[in-house]
Amino acid sequence: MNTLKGLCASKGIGIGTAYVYVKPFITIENNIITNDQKETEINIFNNAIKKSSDEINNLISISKLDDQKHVLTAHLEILNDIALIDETINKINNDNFPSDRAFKETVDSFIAMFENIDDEYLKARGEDLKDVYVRAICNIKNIPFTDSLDTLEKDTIIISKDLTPSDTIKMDVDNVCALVSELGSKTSHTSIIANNLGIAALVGANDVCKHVKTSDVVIVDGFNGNIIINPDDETLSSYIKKRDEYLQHLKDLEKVKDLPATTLCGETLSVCANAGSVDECVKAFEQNASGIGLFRTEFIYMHSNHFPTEEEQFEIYKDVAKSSNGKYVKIRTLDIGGDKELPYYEFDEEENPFLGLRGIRLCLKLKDIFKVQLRAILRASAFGTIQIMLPMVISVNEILDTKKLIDEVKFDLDKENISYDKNIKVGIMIETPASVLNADELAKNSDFFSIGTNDLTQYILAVDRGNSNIANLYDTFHSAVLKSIKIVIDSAKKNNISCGMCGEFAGNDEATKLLLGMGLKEFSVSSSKVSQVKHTIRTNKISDCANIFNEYL
Amino acid sequence: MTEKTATINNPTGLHARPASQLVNFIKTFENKVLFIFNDKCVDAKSLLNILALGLKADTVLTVRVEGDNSDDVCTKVCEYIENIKE
Repeated sequence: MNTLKGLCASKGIGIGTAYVYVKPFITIENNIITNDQKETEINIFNNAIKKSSDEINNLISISKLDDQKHVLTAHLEILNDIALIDETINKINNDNFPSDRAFKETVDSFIAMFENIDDEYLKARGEDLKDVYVRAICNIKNIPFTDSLDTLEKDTIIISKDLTPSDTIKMDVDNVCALVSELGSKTSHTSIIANNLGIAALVGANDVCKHVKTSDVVIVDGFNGNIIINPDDETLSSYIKKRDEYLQHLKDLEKVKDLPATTLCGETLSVCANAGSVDECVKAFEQNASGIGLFRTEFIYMHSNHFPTEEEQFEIYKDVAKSSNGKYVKIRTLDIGGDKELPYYEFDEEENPFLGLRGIRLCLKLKDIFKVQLRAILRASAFGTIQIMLPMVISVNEILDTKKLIDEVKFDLDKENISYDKNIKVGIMIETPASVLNADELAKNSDFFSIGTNDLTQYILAVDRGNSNIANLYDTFHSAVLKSIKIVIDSAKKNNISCGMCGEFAGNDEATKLLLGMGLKEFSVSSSKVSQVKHTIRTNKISDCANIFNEYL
Repeated sequence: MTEKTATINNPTGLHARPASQLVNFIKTFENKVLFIFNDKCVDAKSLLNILALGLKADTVLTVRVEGDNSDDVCTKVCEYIENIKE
């Protein structure tokens, strides 16, 4: 028995037989050809491109998945790219390179160009180019390019250096129970395929191809990144149990979807979802979320080339309201500034953007722009239960100033005979230390609180969450952060207003029970986590969780 | 030869699908079409070349067309670029 490590790229547990998938090994020598060999080399190259194109066209015709078809169509375009072909032929003609070397150097220069662009999407195109390269170079060198993943034994675990779309297109997916690769990141093709299939995957597993042999019995643990080779009986049976429990857990979650978030002690809580677009709201309500605990509006501003007009915003908020079928939606007003910029507005250079002109501060400075948003939100409130949520608040004055603007907008709407929800609720995000310490006063002027744990953790601990040198210090479980959360929950309760949490912490598996015990009544998480949080709530009593808080102090 | 400038209005810049449609559009002309941006001058009939320019929203690039009807072709290419929307 031997254990290796990888990075978890897809959850699950796979137990099966290893298949070590090794791609053809290609050597390119640095030799030079004579002038009369040029014509032959150009022919070899052109024929290889033709043959590779035929192969890809054949794959497109047998592919059943639209995603794969798109990838392969892109491969076909890349393969026949005029610059790629011309440059290769130039290298054969002018530099006297043989076709394989000419093609390799051309491809390498393009890959280098893509890797230098600061854009994840374009970097991924570099990966496509590598995939196309392997197929074409095999045809140039007349090495068989095998699609050997097309017939597999039941419960196969594929161990590879890296899996590309060309490898997985013909993969016999019904018989694969896990993927492990030496290269790749959590966003690479291996992990996308595994997540789609719902099987375990590990990436970045160093030297796994050396240590594992085809036919070895392997356990892949997609939760803690372990690869266990030829496990003993005891380990094997404990993992079989773990795997079956996980599969059962997935079935339970599916069932939980249609049930209320009621604890074992009989209290029903709200499990909401966070969203940033109408599509995400629709997805959230498909998961039976109790509402939208945070609707982010900054994307509407960021994906535009001008401050979005009232009509543009109204259409979006109206669609959001309509998608909710009477459930509530908390629309957070523009939270931008500092590190998040707008292409059409020049922010002053700031030394400490996170302590600068952002959130409600910016909105109250750009009052005319803020009123456009408030007016769009108020108009949409005629179509559903909409609430207004203010970001980055530190004092009561900010709430009062905003309410004054809301009253002005309401006055105008009344005058124009436009309908809106006259009792629209106005609440605040709790994400600054000041708002924690002043929670009592703020509660008297708010209809609800929503704790934003990402910023709150950063500000309470004075730890920049983007700074990798101190990444280990960024910890929402820190007692100072938990005490702050407790103060806020208690103040809200005392003043009889609702208190939710919309930061990532609310969806953290370990944190749900802790927060339940601390008295949190509304959890707002990404829609994919709604069932998970609901399941935890349904299997616990609040009184049993009350003591977890003390364990962290 | 004609040169004109065009602005990329598409908020997400020039990504694969619009870029590939643009290349296919340019390929319908016999003319040599070049894109000039950031001191680089590339053949616009190559998707790889265009993607490698890393053109983002609001960038202004120069389009150079050689051969017959270059003025007309250049205007058409510029209009196509400015109207790209995903």
